[in-house]
Amino acid sequence: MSFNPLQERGIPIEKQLRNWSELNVKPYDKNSVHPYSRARGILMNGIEVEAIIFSHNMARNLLDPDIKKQLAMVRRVEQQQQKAINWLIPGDETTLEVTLGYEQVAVDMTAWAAQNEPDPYLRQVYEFGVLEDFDHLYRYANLYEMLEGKKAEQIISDLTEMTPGRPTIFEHRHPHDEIRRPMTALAAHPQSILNALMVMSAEQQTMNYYMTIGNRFMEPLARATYLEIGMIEEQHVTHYETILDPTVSWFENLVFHEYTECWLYYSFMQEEPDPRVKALYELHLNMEIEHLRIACELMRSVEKRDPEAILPATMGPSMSFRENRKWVRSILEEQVDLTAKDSEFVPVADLPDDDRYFAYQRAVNGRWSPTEEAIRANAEKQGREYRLEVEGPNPVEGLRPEGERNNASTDYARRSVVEHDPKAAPWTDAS
Amino acid sequence: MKTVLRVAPRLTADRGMGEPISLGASLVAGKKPPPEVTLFLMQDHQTAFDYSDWYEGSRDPEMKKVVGRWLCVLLRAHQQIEEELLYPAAAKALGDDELIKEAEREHAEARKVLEQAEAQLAKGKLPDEAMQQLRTLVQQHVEEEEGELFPRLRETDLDLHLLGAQLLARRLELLWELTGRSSKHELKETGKMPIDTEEARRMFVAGLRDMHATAAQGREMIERQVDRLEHYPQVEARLRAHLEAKKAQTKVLEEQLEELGESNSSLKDLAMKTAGNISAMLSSGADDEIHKNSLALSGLTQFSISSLESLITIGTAADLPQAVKELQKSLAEERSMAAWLAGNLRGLVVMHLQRRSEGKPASH
Repeated sequence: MSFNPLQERGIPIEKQLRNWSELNVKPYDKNSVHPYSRARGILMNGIEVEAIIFSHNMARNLLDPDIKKQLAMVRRVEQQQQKAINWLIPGDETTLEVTLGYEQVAVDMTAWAAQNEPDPYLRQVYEFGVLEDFDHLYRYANLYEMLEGKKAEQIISDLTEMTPGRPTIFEHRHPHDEIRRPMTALAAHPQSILNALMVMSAEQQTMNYYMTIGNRFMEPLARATYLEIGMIEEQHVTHYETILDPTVSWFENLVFHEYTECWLYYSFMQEEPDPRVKALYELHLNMEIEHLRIACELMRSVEKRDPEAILPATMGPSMSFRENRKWVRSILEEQVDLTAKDSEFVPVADLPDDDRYFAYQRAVNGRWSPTEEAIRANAEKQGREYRLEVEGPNPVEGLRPEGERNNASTDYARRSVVEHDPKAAPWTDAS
Repeated sequence: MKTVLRVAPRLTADRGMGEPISLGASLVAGKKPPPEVTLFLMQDHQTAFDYSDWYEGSRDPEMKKVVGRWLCVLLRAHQQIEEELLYPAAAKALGDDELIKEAEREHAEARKVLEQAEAQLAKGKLPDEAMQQLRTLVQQHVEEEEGELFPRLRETDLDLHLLGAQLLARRLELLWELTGRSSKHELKETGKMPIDTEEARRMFVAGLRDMHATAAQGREMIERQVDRLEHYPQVEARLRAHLEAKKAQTKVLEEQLEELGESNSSLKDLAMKTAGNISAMLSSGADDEIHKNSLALSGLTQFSISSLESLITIGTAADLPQAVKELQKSLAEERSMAAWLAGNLRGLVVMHLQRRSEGKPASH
């Protein structure tokens, strides 16, 4: 690919504003939309939200009113872009259906990042994270069947499997073990910076979403499941944001943000089959090219540094949503029993009994875990839990349904210090 | 034993009225909390090992060369910040040169291998053997630093966060330089000022002379206090660091004035005159000397900040970007001192009151 947004001409900033009618786009049809069209929209919304929040933070840290004005102008347009993208989601798509989309994004986006990450440490960071989002998808799919009586494959198709990953109950780790080693942007592959910003933005959006909508349910188990998984999203944002280089300046960071937006709109413009949405991505790309130009100009004039020095001469591979079933299985098989210790990843079997991991597990899980209960309760209701295993049974024997495990178990299960007791639910008399 | 930090290369490049933009300026202005230096260096060690693993494990020869070059850059920057900043401060704090000499010797050995690796990479070859050797040397060096030097440094009263700020800022500057990304832009503020450049230059020279007198006054004030501070070691450490900044400021001002054709002797006269005022401002011998002197220093620091701010504007009008840049650095240093005074005054007064109530010597 020889696309270089620095050499393209975008739409002048003063011509970028749209009226309410233009912004209020017609939503997609939830029954016919391609799952990866939904996924691209969700990811771009996360990217726009990060761009906006970053710009606000930057403005709060700068004195110069002229720079604040420039940031405010670009930010206003980013807000419009976010509205146009997020308003593609139809009102009749339920909160749980949107949630399934979010988790499908997390799985297949992180899988792409891992497979396109040159730095082995960062690749490990993505491989570690993807197994956890993969498990969330399976938990929500069961909740969905239990509450709405539908199968999650109607939403996400068979592109992404739904079967246990690293069980959510075991994902809760002490905060000190979510801090990763930061990259050095000046001695890193440009793709590493783009991958990290993309994944961090998407996870942050998921965190924000669960924080806000998790309490919109009447059903106590749904509320509980969202709050438990919501806490993992906090871990994931910490996990991914700490790989970013903390020594880059505000202006370098702004340039990286705008470049990431160009990269993703350019990527999705090419692979989006819906012509209406494709046109929206193309329009937004042309806006982002101008935003990037403004960011570069600010970096040059304020910081007296060349943005070209920190950006690649041509764009790397296009981001693409595609099926990763076999890849996810291979990672699951190899890494299900890994946990994090400081900034490294180690087998849970190697932790000493008095490790802070076990203390944290006891503190948050108590005797009852919503994400375990979601599976148990749905299995009780339907006579079996919900799984979608296109490529065969779960590659980890210990993660197969009870009765199909041949007494196998994961190291996590062997080392577990918590036991899920349905009778200990907060709404039962036994509690 | 009390330790004086050697002042780092002045890295506080700022903009306009001293808004911190660069990492160095942000650190000095307290806009970015600095890391503790040993933890920061341990993280840098881990980065080097990860890149070494990456080099080893990479099958694509082109990618291997890129990773090899990055690793060389990271190691060079790491060595340089340790030699420029960490080792001199550590030698002074520990009062023991042996450990540092050994570390420097190891650096020299590693540098030879590093040069071989760089030379091979420059010829488009893969320096597998040199990389292997480097890994072994770095491993030994890391074991000594993390096992011996760092634990001992943590026992001293060296300000490890201040040192962390200096090493971090310097590392970033070096990475820009070593990766060939240094800026080609002129250090020039934009915007035309409503005054003739020559006229502005005359005003600027007069302002520089006054500024020199103010800086000399500040230096004098700190020098007179710092050796008397028996009971307030934290104040002493901070003042000593600021004293080094003041020395650098006066030196830069003298150089600037010389470049603009001003004689040194006139400066000395002016400085002598102002020195007389110091005695009036300081309260040597008073039973609340520490308290009164802190207020005097606070006043002078605020005066310096305002003087520098106006001088920067005049310097911009006089089209003297390099001189302005230096003043912006001084401004960041003064703001840092003012922020420290503001943040510590209450604690200082409380400590003073406590010592008095306990009947302990409390004046200085």
